Amino acid sequence: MKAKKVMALMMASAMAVSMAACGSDGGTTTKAADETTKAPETTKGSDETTKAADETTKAAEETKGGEEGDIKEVVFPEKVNNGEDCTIRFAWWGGQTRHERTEKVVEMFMEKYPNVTITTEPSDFDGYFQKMATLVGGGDVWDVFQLGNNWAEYTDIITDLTPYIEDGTINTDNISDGFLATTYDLGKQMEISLGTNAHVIIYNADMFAEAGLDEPAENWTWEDYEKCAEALKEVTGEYGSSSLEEFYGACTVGVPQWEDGLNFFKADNSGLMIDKPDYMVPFIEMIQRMTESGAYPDRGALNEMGTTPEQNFVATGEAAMTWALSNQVIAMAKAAEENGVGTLKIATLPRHSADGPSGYAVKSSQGLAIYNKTKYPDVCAEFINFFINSPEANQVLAGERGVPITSAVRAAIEPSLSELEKSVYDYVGMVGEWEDSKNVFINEPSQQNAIKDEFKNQLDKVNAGSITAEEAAKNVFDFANDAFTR
Amino acid sequence: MKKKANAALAAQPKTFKQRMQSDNAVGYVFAAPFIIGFICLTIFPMGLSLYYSLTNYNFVHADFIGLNNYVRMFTGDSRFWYSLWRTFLYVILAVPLKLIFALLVAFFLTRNTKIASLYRAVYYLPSLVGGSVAVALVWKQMFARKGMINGILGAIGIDRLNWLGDKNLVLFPLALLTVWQFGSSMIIFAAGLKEIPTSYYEAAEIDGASSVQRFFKITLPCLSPVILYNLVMQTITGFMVFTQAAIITQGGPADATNFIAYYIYTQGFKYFDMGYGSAISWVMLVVIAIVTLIIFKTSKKWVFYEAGNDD
Repeated sequence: MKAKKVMALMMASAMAVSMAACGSDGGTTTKAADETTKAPETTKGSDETTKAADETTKAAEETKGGEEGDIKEVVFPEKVNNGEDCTIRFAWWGGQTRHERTEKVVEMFMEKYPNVTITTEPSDFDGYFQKMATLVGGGDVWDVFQLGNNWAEYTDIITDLTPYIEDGTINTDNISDGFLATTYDLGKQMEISLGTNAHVIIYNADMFAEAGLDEPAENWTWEDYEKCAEALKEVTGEYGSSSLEEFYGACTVGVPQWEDGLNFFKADNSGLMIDKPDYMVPFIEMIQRMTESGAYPDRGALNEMGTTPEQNFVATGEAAMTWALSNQVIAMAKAAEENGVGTLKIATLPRHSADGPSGYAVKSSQGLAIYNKTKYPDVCAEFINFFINSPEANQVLAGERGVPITSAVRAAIEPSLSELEKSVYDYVGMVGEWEDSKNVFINEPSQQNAIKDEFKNQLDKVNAGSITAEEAAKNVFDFANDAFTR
Repeated sequence: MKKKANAALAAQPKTFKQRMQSDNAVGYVFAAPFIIGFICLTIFPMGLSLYYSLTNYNFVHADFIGLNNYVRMFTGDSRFWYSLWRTFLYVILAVPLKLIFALLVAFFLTRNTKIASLYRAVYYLPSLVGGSVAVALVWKQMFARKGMINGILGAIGIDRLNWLGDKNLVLFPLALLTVWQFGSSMIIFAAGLKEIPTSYYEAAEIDGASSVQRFFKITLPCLSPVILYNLVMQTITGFMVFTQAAIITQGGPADATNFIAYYIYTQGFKYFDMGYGSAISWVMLVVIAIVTLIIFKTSKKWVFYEAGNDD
């Protein structure tokens, strides 16, 4: 009798555990409860970051739609630069979808203000920053240009946009302070965000169905991910997983997944916050196992794949899942549709443990900044104003750079959103609501590029079998600490 | 003669016109485009990079930090040493292959027919386009997992090779791209071959030397000054290999193709550590100079200079 009871209890708890692992709702409830009990101790990290994150969260909540607040109409000036002829240079990075849409908006602006000529310089991500480096060296940067969260490196050449916001050239009536704060740093309004995004897993739902797999739960783990990748590879013969952001996965996202409030880099860019390399090891080992089994592409194959969403193996049908940014979903899905490879859907990033923190937060995907030596700062400011506020322009852009930050634009494009686009908006809103995402730092120290490359090399060495995952983690750890002491 | 004229001119005050018509002035004017270009595009940037190598220049500001960059390179940067090693391997693999190939093709195309000059032009073509990004991209496709090379291997029953993902294999496709651009060496070899007097061959033939013997006993020794020239030039170019690493492999896998020129570029334009990049390029200059010197020193042993006139 007693034995039977114990048995029943064990089975019940086993069921509960498995439900928590599969059902997204079960998992988050437990997590939320955990967070509440932990609430008093969430003073880790610098106050400023927490505050900024708070505001980001608030802002992200707004994106959920529903109560948009008062939407004020934005009136654009009759003419810019007093109607006198001028030429400005505008540059951005992105894939084909973005290039086409952005070019159209530039044409709309030039039609509205015929005295302004805008020369455009689109490029891919890598090429963009190479070109930019030479232009910075030569003191001849584009007048208005796209920039990510890596403004710390360029702060000396960026115009503070605060005066333009204050005098209304850049209309921010429909933008919450929280959104503006995502691109305010080092005492300057560095740029105006063109949209917010979050890390996401994009997967091919058709391939999942083919392999008989359930669609991922909200709190799935890397263990689940690996199992899915292996199963997908077995059934479809393609890669189970396309590129993962290996460095983020092991470091900047991976570390916060271990413990709420712990981060890879310190908030003030002065060094590493972790005190031992062990945090990186499980992720490196996972990549090693998946590469060995052929579920994950090796370096040669990853190199064959380009960096734009359209070139990702998921878009070409050569892989079932990939790590991406939420604003890349649409372009990738569009390419996948054109290639006829199946329906793409999104899922959360896997976690270190099902009831642990998510490790990532909503951030500005990219913004527009103005060169501080431009001849026409006012025209540039007007262009930014048009770019972020014009409903017509944003119908064309359609949130391809991330969820737009002005409520008016969100309201304007909401009706025309596709099912997938809506799911992306909801997704970003959801990530913004997560309690633990407030304690994730999104700063990018200038040493990050070198550390990232070192990580890649060490990972390659692990895959080649010349060192162990522990050794690789230790080498990266030492290299990073070294980089900060130079 | 010239000296006397100059002295005479110097004796009396000169008008502008007279000055301009002096031999020296004419010489300088005609050399000016080169001299200006040399100063602005070579001497000045070199001086600047030497200065930057002593700073932490990051495109925005440059603080003088003495020899710190060099100390860091020699004591704390294992990537640098590995990069140097891989560059050496690449040069040792690519340069001799390229020269042998160029010499063989030149040798078979020495016959003075119209069709030979057509072939020569055709074989020269890769050298015109070989350094370009487009060809590097084609190469990347050819050696891809499902690329042409693996397709051919598959057709003859050999397993696919992971050309660009295996660090033990990756140097071969890249070296092959260099070898493929054998045109300019070939042209120089062809010119050299024509200079060898036919009487030597005739004499050898009468003495009953086989064609192989003729090649090793006559052609190679007579051609050795040209071989030396090509060897030096190609070695220097070899050390500067960049396009392949940047376009095809991006330095990977595991830094196997992180050639020194690409490493300099990465430090400068990716990590914005222009000071350190400049320091590495100066060390590279010294390394190339030493290697060239060694080649010249050994050349005394194997380069054969004909005494007196050619004929």
